[in-house]
Amino acid sequence: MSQLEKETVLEVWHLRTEFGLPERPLVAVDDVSFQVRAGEILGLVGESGSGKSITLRSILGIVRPRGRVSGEILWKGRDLVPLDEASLRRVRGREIAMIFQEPMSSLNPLLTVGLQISENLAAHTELDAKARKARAIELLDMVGIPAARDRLGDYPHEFSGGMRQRVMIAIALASNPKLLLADEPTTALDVTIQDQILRLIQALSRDLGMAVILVTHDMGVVAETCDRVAVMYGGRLCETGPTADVIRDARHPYSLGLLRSIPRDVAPRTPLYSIPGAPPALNALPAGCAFTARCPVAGPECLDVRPSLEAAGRQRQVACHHREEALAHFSAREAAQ
Amino acid sequence: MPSLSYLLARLLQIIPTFLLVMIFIFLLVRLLPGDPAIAMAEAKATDAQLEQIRHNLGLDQPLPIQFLVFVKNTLTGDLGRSIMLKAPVTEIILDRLPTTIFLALYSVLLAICLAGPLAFLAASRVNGPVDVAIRSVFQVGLSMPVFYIGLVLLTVLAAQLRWFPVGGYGTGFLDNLHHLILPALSVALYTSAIILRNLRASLIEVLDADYVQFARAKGLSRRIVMTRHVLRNALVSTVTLLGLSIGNLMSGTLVTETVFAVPGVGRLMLEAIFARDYPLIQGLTLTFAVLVSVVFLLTDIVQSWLDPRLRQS
Repeated sequence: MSQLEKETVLEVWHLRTEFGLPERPLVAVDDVSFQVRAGEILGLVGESGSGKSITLRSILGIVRPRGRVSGEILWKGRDLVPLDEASLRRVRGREIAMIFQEPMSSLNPLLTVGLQISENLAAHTELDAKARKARAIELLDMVGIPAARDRLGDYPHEFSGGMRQRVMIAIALASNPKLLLADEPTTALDVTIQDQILRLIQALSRDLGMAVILVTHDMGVVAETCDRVAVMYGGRLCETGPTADVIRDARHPYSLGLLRSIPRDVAPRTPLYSIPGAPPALNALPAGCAFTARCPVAGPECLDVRPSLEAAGRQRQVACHHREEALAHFSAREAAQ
Repeated sequence: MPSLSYLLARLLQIIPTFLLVMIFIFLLVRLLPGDPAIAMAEAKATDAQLEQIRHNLGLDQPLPIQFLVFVKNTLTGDLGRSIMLKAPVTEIILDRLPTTIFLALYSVLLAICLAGPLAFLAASRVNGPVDVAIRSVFQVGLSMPVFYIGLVLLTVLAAQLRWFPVGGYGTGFLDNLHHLILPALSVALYTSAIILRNLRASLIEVLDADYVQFARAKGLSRRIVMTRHVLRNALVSTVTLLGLSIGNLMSGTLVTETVFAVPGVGRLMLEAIFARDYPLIQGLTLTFAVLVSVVFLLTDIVQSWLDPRLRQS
């Protein structure tokens, strides 16, 4: 069965998450819409502060109470936005699980990993203590932790970084979630370990039929792992599409810049491209396109008129007023090198 | 739980502490000006009589021998005789000690009951009106000396409103609770101000920690997130502070017990100092050292129970 025919499990429509005073809100996520199909891995790419992590945390409602979420988050047809904490708790960790960036700081340092897995099972299943223990061993085994049985009583500080990330994945998988939200799961790890963890997530997604939203700032990770990609900038989506297509033929000036900054087969000592400037602060976002200030092809209308995400070929969407110029600009650069 | 070997290792650490305390006390008493024999003897004692007293006290022996005798006597529970009260020091101290320990535990419990819930309240509404109000009130408590708080409580609650007794000690547990509420409260107000500040700060930090976000993302109930994940982590640093402030509180009893006329070891210490009752001062100093060491030992044990990272000795 191809990806196209699989059912859509998560639909996000016009998601907006803001913080701070209601009269002067800081908008971290603005009008973001995307869909995830069963078993699919969606990459959410962008720089730090682009709103990727907040998007994930908004889906589970854990940005509340400080963050205010609006829009629609349809999980198997049911909107999660209006749900109260008690109802959300039956989705969190049970149907939608999440893993965090820092395996060092995301596990409670005072509790054994056995307890941290089994409290998840206690919250979401009817298993008794003995069955929870058996399941915990099975989970640690599944994520590739050697001698799982002997490690239940160990504390997080007794594991290496990569092993802790595996433990976190085991906790997340405890009650067979249908969607895994992975917030930069490999950023804090060594390159070799990164690769192992990505392969593990891929294998688990395939074997368990679990959809994954993988947040990362690394296009290389996306290329290796994701079926589709959504590029975020300044809390908004710039471009979405199947990974291979976006990487081969990016359309938005930001994704073009991002892809150009990956070292590929260039001559030695050629300076690496980098997008000039820094991402905008949340309190200084323009009314128009968030990328205007750093964009090489921006026109006067870009600052005031927000480009909407429009279809650009099969399964692809781009939000830019100057697609042709962008493409021309970057191919000219390429040719010059 | 901390392992048995950790507990043993920690217990053994007490021995050098006590040895140092005993050397210190031993030298201190011998360095003080004046001759204990003259202090103990009657005014018209002859040289021969003084010599006899010195011999009885072992003061004619070389210092190292005297020290060994002191250690031996202390270990067998013989702290000498009080000059002022003309009774064995050990007996006097054992008679007065329960009152002080009762008062100390009472103050600590009151402090925890005051600071704990209020710290939670303040931390869950950072910089809101409730938080600011709680912090301001306790800031006042922190900036006033304990004896002053004590005097204010005494004047208002005991002398004017007559809700509580002015001083002294009751008979029986409940009567004690009633009699000691003002001294306990005046110490507790100060201690709770310290605990509140620390606990509030660590709660705010922990509430923001990744593992608490992760615990929420796991769909755990609010109760489990707050107790197992938030409170337990926040307590690690607060427990240390609590241990230190109990240590402080021990020396604070000198003042409190005097202000409220509580017959504990604190007031006894003050009386002994005024009367230059060296054996009693020596015995009381040792008692305080033991109490503080025990409190620190318990603090360490509680900490290593809370935090597995501290268990590697």
